[in-house]
Amino acid sequence: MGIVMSLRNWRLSILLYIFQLTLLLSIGLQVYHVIDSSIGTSLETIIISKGFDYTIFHDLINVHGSSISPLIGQLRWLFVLYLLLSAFVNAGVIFVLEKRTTIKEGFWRGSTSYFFRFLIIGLLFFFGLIIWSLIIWIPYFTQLFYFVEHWVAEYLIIWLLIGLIIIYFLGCAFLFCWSLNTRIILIRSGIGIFKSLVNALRFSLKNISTFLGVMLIYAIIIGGIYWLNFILEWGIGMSTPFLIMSFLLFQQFVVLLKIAVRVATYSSFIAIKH
Amino acid sequence: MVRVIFFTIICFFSLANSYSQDLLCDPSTGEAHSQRLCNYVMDLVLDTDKKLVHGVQKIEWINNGDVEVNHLELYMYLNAFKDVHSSYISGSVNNVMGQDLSDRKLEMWGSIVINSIKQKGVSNELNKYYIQNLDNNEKDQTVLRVDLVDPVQPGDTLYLETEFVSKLPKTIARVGYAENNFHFFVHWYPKLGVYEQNPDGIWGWNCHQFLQRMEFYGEFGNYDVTITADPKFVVGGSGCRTQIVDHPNGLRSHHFEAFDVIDFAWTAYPDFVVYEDSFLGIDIELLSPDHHSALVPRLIGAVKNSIEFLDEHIGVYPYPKITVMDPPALGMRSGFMEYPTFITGGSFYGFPKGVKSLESLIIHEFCHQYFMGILATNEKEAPWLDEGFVTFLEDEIMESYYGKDNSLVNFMGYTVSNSAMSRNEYVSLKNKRSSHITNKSWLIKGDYKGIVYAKTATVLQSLKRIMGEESFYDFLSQYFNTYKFTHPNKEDFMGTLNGYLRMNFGSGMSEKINSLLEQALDKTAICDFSTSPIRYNDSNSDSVYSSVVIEQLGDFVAPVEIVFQFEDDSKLLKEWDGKGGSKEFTFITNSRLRSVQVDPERKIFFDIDFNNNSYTSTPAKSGLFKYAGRALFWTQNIFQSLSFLM
Repeated sequence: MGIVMSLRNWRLSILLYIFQLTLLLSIGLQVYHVIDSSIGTSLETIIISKGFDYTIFHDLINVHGSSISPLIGQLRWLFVLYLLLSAFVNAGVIFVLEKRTTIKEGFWRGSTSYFFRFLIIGLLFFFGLIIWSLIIWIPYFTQLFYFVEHWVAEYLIIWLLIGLIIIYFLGCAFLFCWSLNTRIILIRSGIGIFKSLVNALRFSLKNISTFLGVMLIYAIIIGGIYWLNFILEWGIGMSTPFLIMSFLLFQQFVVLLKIAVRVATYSSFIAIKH
Repeated sequence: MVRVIFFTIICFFSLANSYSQDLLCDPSTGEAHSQRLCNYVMDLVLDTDKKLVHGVQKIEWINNGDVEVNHLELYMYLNAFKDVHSSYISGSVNNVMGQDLSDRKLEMWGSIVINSIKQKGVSNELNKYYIQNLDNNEKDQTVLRVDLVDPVQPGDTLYLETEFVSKLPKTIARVGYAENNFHFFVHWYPKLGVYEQNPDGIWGWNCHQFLQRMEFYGEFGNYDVTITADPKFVVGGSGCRTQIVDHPNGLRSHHFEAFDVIDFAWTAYPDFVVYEDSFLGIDIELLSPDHHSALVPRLIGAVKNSIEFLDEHIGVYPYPKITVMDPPALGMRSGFMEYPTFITGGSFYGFPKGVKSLESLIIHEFCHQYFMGILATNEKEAPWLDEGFVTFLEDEIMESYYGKDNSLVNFMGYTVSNSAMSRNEYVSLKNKRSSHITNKSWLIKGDYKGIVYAKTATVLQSLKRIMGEESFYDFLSQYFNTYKFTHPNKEDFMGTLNGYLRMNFGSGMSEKINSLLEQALDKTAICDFSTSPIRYNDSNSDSVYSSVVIEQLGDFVAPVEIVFQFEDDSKLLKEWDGKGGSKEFTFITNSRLRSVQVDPERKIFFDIDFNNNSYTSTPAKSGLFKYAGRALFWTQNIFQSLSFLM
């Protein structure tokens, strides 16, 4: 159902992709500029066009690191902007999907009407994510040296880590589920944030296995997409100008697919709620 | 008849109480390889509750000097971990190899005490006191001076008998104990310094205090060590285990013998599994916890690769056995180290296959058997002569057996080789001028590893590339075989090198290499060749004027090859002597100069930036697009994933 709705709303995915590309293209362009101004006329460009070379990148960062660090600083602020705009855009997307309107009719209306409330919900869950991360990881990493020095069976440290990763991601999945349901209920019922949070928590807990199942399916799809990306990159390589350009286009298609999966996830949750 | 029955009973019990014969080996190395100037017989009883050994020691030392010796100097290095006042610890109590020792409990400190020391045939105890020969820290007790009652004449042998107690600390700088009764005994017994001539030709003891960044220096000899412990412990040590005897009191004695070595190290831990193998006639014993079983083929494979490579390129491994201790994670602080015929690794459960640092480490430590163990250079005064050479050989062996470009990391198309990692460790030093390579260990400031290990390995890599692989290993083998089982120094190395170069390449090459090594080893000169953009003048229609300036941005002076390539694909190889800081090359040709490349074979491997060594008028911009595109792709993905709650 979600996939069908996502396909039906392909324009939404395109819109989200363009929004994201517009915001982040500057990073790609700046990276190009930094590499070009650093080693753009060196014969080493021929080597990196054929494959990865650790020494070339090491020397690039070692010598031209000062050109790269401002980019990393810029990324921090860009991420904050990205989060704010995500709240705006997601409000539009969920409104269109929930109210079954056209993009033209619903996107702007949903974004402007629900932006602040979505932002508050987003920040609340972001805060929740930080707390959840601290609960899981602080005990582990503060005790890691103790584990290493005292546990005879060191494999327990690795298995504990794997177990914690699974629990952590299950917790994140639940937070996502709760967060999305809160926003759907907010739009559907028109009630306040607090009531939406409570209702969404009840609904999420009641249908937890369904939601986790849906998310697992989409996680597998995304995993498959990444796997395909790696296999193609690793197997075929990006060694000629044609392959490089083709692969760059393929990677952008991967990004678009990932966005489509996200829209499908929203659609599925809305369908479950119905 | 009674004798026969008695002998049969003895044999029956000794067989019944012994390990399998596989665990025993013959320590004999044929003829004596070294002068065997300093020989030890030690009888030890391990008290695992108190983390100490009671030892009875007999030392036999031959005065090979030409003057009478009336005192001895002994390493008492366990006293470096006696309290916070030793020279090793004071000044960095909060960070001794990553440990904060400021609130350490009393029982966690170590020490070594000699309860009795006598010269054979003399009933009186010898007068002894601690000396400080590097700093004035009177609380440092790492070197003991012992005054002899009966001086030792040149050529005579001294017989010394001691009784000592060595208490292990909770592991500091490899030595010590850890949870679950893990014990590791290194620099643990009263050990004589090296009696030798100083650079002025005066005989004396070379026996430095123990400071941080300092390793060891010992004299060749034979070790006969008997370790008695609870039979639940698996015991491993230097040399060969020649006998295992179970006693009526429930204890078990392990008898080890090691010939022509400079030290003896050992371990005792109840949960080691013993794996045995052999290669080219050398027994390999691996002590590893059972949950590392998946790593055993990798560890033993690395040892075999080292044996094979060094046998082919440097010389024969002269000992019958090598023991590898792969510590459990709880004993990790005892890993990453080398002792004669005994090395320690560093791994953990589930160590990834794509990362070969596990093999690299084992190979590094094995190479120390040659450079430290057999060529027993002074690790304190010239650490580069072992650590630098070993790092170079580690890189070479790794790249020979695990891949030229991907020996260290090979994961999803991202590869790193060992030699690239060594070079990059040097070139990314924040201060490349903090110290020269040949400095004494305790005087080296800044990044010790980056200078002593990485820079030396990079310089040796350059030497190999300039001399050619075959000639380089021919020389290295000559150096090794000339000085094996002695204590060579920098002059011995340079003397052998110059002799080899003059004989095989002529004096010009010898001068060139000498100049290069002088700058690289004894100075902190930096090498950074670069090219300017190519300038053209096409005003004359028949020919093209092309010009390019080659510069040395650092202060290194070295001759270098330059390749010029023209648009008609013709190439021209020229050499610049590197003098004067820069040189302009001009060409008036029919075809335009397309590219220029300084040092195309990267012979001067310690050049700190290879990217500016070349210029081309036709760069491959697709490579730039590729990485810019990747940066965009991963930024899109990461941002999208991190914003999942908004």
